[in-house]
Amino acid sequence: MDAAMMEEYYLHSQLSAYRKKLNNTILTIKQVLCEHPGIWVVSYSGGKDSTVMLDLCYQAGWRGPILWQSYGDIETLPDNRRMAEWASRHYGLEVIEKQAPGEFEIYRQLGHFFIEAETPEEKAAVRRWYRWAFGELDKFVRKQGWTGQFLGLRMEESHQRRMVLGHRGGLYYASSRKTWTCCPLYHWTGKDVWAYLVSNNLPWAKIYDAPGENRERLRNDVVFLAGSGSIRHGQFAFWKKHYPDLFNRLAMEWPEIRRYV
Amino acid sequence: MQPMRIRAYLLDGRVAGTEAHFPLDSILAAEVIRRQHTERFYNPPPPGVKDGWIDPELPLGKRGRGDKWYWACSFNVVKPVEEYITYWHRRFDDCYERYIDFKGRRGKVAESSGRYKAYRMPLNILLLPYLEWYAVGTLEAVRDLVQGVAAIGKKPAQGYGLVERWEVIPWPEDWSEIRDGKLTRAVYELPPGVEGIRRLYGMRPPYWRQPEEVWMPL
Repeated sequence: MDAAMMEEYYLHSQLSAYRKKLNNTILTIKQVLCEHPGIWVVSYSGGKDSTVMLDLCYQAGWRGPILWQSYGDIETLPDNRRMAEWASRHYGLEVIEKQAPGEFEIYRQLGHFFIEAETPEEKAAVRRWYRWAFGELDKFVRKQGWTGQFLGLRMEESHQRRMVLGHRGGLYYASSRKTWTCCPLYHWTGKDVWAYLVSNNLPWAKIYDAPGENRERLRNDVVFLAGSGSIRHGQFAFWKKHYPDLFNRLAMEWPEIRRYV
Repeated sequence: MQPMRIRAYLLDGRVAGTEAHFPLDSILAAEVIRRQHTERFYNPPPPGVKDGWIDPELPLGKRGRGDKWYWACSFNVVKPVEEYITYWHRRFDDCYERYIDFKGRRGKVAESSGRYKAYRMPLNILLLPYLEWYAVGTLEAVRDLVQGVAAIGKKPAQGYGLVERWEVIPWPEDWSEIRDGKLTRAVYELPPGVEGIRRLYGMRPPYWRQPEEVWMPL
């Protein structure tokens, strides 16, 4: 990040609107912990949002495990693993790694590549993967007997999140996991997130400094490949640019992906 | 065979591509195929097909041993001064709706999701004053070949990577692999005292066909 941008985010962090939002968020986390006592887990991806959320939870007095989900040998980005290691070191908290299959398992199972599930077999494979990846995670969370889970989701990230979080707010009960879910950053903007990172000297994954990318919108993961339109929105082009070795490994197995860069 | 420096001066400095390497041997290979196998040039095999590729003979020296050989030609050594992303879009044109076969049933063309979802693809643009390579080969033959190359990189039809002029001149030193203790192209073995990074990359045109673990310039 260059000095001018750093200064811009620092100045944003001095705005009264931002300070108010920050104080309210910390207050929300404190209230949630007070009203629903027990063990709360922070779901951490290694991205900018979850780094801010983790730090805010810590500042609000939360202590507990950090849950980090990995996605197989190819789709787990090295940057995210490094950030999870940093979080564990920096806060002195336990990081629980939950392994989920990478989405390329779908192609491996079916033996061919597709970008939109059309046949019954493809649709079934996508559903199976979702059950495998997120169903298993829900089961795992249920088994731990945790009271709640902090997630770094924000309304600004997608239309779906805007609808869900706008309707539910920052705290809701997830019946699938039988736990409370708190999204303390649900009303934060990308600029707020970066203002917090910069003004608190927190690290971020290298990918956010990539030239030409919008750091406020950039995602640090590569999930939701098969069965979604992300490929038509340049998911493979993103891999090719930022993780060329991973892209080449994928392309050796599924050469068709080179058509979508 | 002699060492040479090749420069491509761009019309407006914009080239589309994710990396600035743009191996010249690959550009020359495409030009040879265009001249000698025109039909195959415009109808190349799809990605993943192992047969049917043409390995053209280039007017460049060969390096390496046995199967592990490569052309004596550097990657582009000029770093981009700026990099940004633009987007291209493709969406369903309803003037073609009569060609859709819903197999006798009612159907819907949804552009927001599913099969007909519109494309919005990022295109990485690099800004360079010119591209520069070093090679060892037959200067006149290289000079002749590059004259047929009108553009470099992706999306030339949209005006990216257009070459204004080529310059091929003799060069006193062979910098096709190493220059000032730094790699200028991918190599199998890293010479002592030279900096490089281990990566999965191709060694011969087309570079995407067979990536291997090799040493790359930093």
